[in-house]
Amino acid sequence: MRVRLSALWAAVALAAGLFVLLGYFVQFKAIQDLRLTFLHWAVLLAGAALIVGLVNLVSVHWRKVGLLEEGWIYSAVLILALVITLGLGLFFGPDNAVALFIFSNFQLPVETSLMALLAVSLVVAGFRLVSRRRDLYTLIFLATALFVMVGTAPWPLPGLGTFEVVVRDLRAWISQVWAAGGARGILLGVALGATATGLRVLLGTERPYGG
Amino acid sequence: MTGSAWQGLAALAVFLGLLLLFAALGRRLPATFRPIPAFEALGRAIERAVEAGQRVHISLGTGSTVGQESAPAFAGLAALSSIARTTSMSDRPVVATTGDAAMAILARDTLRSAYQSVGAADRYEPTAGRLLAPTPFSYVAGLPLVLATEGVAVHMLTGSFGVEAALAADFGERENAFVIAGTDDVQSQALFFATAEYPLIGEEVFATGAYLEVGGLHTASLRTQDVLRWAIIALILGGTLLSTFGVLR
Amino acid sequence: MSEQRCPMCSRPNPPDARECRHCGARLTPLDLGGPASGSGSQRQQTPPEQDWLARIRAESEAAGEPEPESAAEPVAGELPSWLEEIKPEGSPPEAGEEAGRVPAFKADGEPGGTKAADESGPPEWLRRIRAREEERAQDSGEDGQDWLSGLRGSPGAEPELEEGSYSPRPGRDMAAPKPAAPESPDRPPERPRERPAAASQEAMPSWLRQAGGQDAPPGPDRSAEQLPPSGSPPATPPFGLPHVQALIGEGGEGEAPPGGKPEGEVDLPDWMDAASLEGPAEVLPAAAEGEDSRLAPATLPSWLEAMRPVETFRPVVKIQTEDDQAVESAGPLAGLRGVLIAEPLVAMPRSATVGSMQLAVSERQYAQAELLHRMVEDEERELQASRRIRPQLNFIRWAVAGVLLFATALPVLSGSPRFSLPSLEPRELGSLFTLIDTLPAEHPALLVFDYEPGYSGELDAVGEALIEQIMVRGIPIATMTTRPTGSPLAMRVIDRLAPLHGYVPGEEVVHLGYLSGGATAVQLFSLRPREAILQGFGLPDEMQEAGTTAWDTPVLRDVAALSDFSLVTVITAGTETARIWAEQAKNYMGQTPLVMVLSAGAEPMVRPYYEAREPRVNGILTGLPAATAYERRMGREGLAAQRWNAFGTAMLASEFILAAGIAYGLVQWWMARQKR
Repeated sequence: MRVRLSALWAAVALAAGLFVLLGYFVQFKAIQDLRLTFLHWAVLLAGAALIVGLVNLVSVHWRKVGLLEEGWIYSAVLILALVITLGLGLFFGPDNAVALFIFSNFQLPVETSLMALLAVSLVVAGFRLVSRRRDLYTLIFLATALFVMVGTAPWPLPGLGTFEVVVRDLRAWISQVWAAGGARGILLGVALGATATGLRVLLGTERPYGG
Repeated sequence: MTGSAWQGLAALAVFLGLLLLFAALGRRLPATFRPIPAFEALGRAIERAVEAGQRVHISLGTGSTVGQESAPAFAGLAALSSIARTTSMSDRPVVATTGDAAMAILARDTLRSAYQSVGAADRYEPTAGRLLAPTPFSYVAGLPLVLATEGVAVHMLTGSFGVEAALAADFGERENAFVIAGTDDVQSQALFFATAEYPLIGEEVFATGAYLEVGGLHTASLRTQDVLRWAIIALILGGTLLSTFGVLR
Repeated sequence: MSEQRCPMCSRPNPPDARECRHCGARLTPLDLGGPASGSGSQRQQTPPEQDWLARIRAESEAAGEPEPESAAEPVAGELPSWLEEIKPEGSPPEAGEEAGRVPAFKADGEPGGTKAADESGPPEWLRRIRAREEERAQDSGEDGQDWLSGLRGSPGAEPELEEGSYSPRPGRDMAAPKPAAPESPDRPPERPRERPAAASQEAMPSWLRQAGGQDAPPGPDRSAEQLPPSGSPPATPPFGLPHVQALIGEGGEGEAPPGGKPEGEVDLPDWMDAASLEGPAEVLPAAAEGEDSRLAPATLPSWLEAMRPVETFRPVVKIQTEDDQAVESAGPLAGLRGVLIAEPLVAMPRSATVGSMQLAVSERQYAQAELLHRMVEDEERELQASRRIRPQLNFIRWAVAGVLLFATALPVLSGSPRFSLPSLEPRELGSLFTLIDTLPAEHPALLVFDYEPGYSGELDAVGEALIEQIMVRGIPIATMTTRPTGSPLAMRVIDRLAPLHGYVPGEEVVHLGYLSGGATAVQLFSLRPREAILQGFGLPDEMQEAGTTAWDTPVLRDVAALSDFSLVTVITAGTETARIWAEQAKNYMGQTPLVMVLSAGAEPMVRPYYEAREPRVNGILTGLPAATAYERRMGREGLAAQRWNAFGTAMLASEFILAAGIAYGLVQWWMARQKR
């Protein structure tokens, strides 16, 4: 029975993927409508998956609180905040002033602080990079980063107009030619990898949905 | 069908044909891939973690299951399956976290299948695949607690990340864990180069399945990608030359 | 006598030598204080009263014992007489005799026969000797006293022995203190020491008579032991073992050594004489030729018996005769004789003699079993994560954070340093400005807020520059997002700018809200916007109470497709989001321009869409410098200009820290090279 169920899930995944893929190439109305229907279902399922994920989140932290594992205080705060925010949002609505107050005064400062922490971490990582990994690529990486920063940041010294122009043009050339070219090459490879992954899912050999 | 649609279908057919061909050749024509130090070190790190009774943590990123950002996460799921089978009898089995709810469900399914395949279904725990938070920065904010309290020795990031990826890798470095990180976003790859111990640059993240020997089709996929990459290089160079000499407008 | 023979190696030595010059053995007995006993010329005259042998000889002479005959020189090929006497007559040793077994003395009347020692009484050989003596005694008319006891004299008198006067001769049963050694059946059983009867002069063997008064050759250092006189037949040596006469002739008489007794030489017994020692070399071949029967069988001395290896021990097993053997009546061996009886011990079922089934477990075993059980249980239990020791504060991290914080706060708090606004504009700035300036004002502009709250520091400033120009133009604005946190972000930005330009929510600006599904949602919205988003977000209360949706507001009343918008602006920090809108939505936008407001890091990925021959992106605004320039072009100072100085100092500090890190790493590398 387990083998049949897994074959059923694989067949469903295969059919849905093929129809959506064909809908990009074939202009038959039936296929286009079917593709749209599947896309609608995907959006609904993404929303439903969010609810399932939240339930999983609560269960993990509830277990931590129940067993008094290390860090259970944070789990308790998380559950409390989730309950309060969910309750306020359900009762007053997500665009209510209270919800917006919570967002503007809690979530926004926390996330911007994390962004600031990211800046510090990146600078520290840059400072240590040559000591940790002493090779040519590291030197090129850091030299390029330094040059782009100099070309992006406000010019500290006034009166060096031509030099500033040269620096800015050089910075633009590096970022828009070399960096963009390299990024495009990487993107091509990423596209190939994504295509291969999608084909493996369509062929049914890769089953992240279990079975 | 438009011309571009035919071109797309033809490219897809070539890709599929090569994939099936390499899958059929399989062991008759063994593949030789260049050594990637990150994967070589990963195997040793996982062995050390299992022996020391520590945990492997796989982060599947903050991308959704729809679109191209799901591709590196699927590569992470393949690695999760392989590592779960390897560490099924460890004191601390592998844990997978993600910033997307649907991806968390897929992670749980993958873990359950992996444990069932090695006959350790009783060791599967639904909380082993979990949603940390629905947004990228809140996901990263929840990582330090996982890394610190669950005895993580191997911190593997394979998924779609934004700039918050640098924080995720940095938190692993702070816990003195073995950090291997790969994503599809170029910007995040640059951040991983600076913060992670073993960054996966370019499309190396999609080679995870082949290097971890997940299955024959993963190896065939990588060989197909290599062939097509050379074909694209040839096309680009040829097109550049032809455009330079005015043959192609 | 010119030379003396060593008793150990039989080599000649000078007559006055004390020790053998070849093997080092003493040639004279060790003097322990008493009158020394030696050999050869070192012989000391002992007082007649102390010489027990002389006394015995004297007694025997008095009794009329004939002097021992001096042995004549043995004729070549002939055995000396004394040897002939002891050689058993008749048949050679029995074939059934075990190898290594010393045949017992032949029994009385059994020339050449060997017989196992009878352990029930005196040994056979002793009986034979006594029998002969008795015969002699009878012949001579004496009572049948043992010749040995006769030699010893009265029962109450113990022969006085001089210390060192007697040394046991080699070959004799040495009085060695042996442990229980019942191995050799040939060894005569220990017998209680018997008091010797009066010596019988007639029964005294000739060799014994010859030995009277002589100093025996030196032997092992046992002279301190009290030993019975050589002439007396000690029934049991001082050590408990019976004395065994090594070589006794058939007649029980010893003969003088073939060489006689040279003048001045110690009277050695015949069998110990040098000539007799040489003689056997000639005699032995003759004996080997078949005259073994004339050799008197001898038993091993006790000291030699003690040296016998244990492996050669062969116990005597008494084998029952076949008639006496039981017949097996059960089992597979039924009917056979001489097998171990199976019943009732083996074949019969019986209960275990061990007792009950309960194990006798000691306390220690119980503790060990408990420990093992706990260990097995621990293997299955998942260990709780141990509290990890936090690493020490990272000084560099704190230092860098402090420097960056200071650099960012300094211009805000103190107003200096101030950086000049960028005089150079990006190339694409002009075209973007023109594009916005020429938009039709009757159609709304769609603003997509697809960035995380963490990016609001940069993207709020960059986006507001563009939004302000739109508001200045009076173009209605509709916002949407594909991220959960996008709607509050959009409300925050719009609520800050709307009052400045007189925009009324619901009239000039409306929020469509959050559209879940990522790229799929973008495609759906691009196809059928009204079906993708139904309600709206943050509508005025009256509209909500009236049930008015966002599509019913004046802003979106005339919008049915994406191409009905005058402008679509995507404000994002992620390249993937920008690519999705550029690749998915542009196909459904018709002539509506698509503008990207990006973080500085996303520019390299999106610029190719802008610079392509058939651009999919019609305008880009990237980073704080471009936003500052845009505000400058507009003549207004917005968020970008307000953050410009802090941005400058923070960037400068970061540049210095990076440069210092590079220099530090290079110095470390150089120093490491120098050390090598």
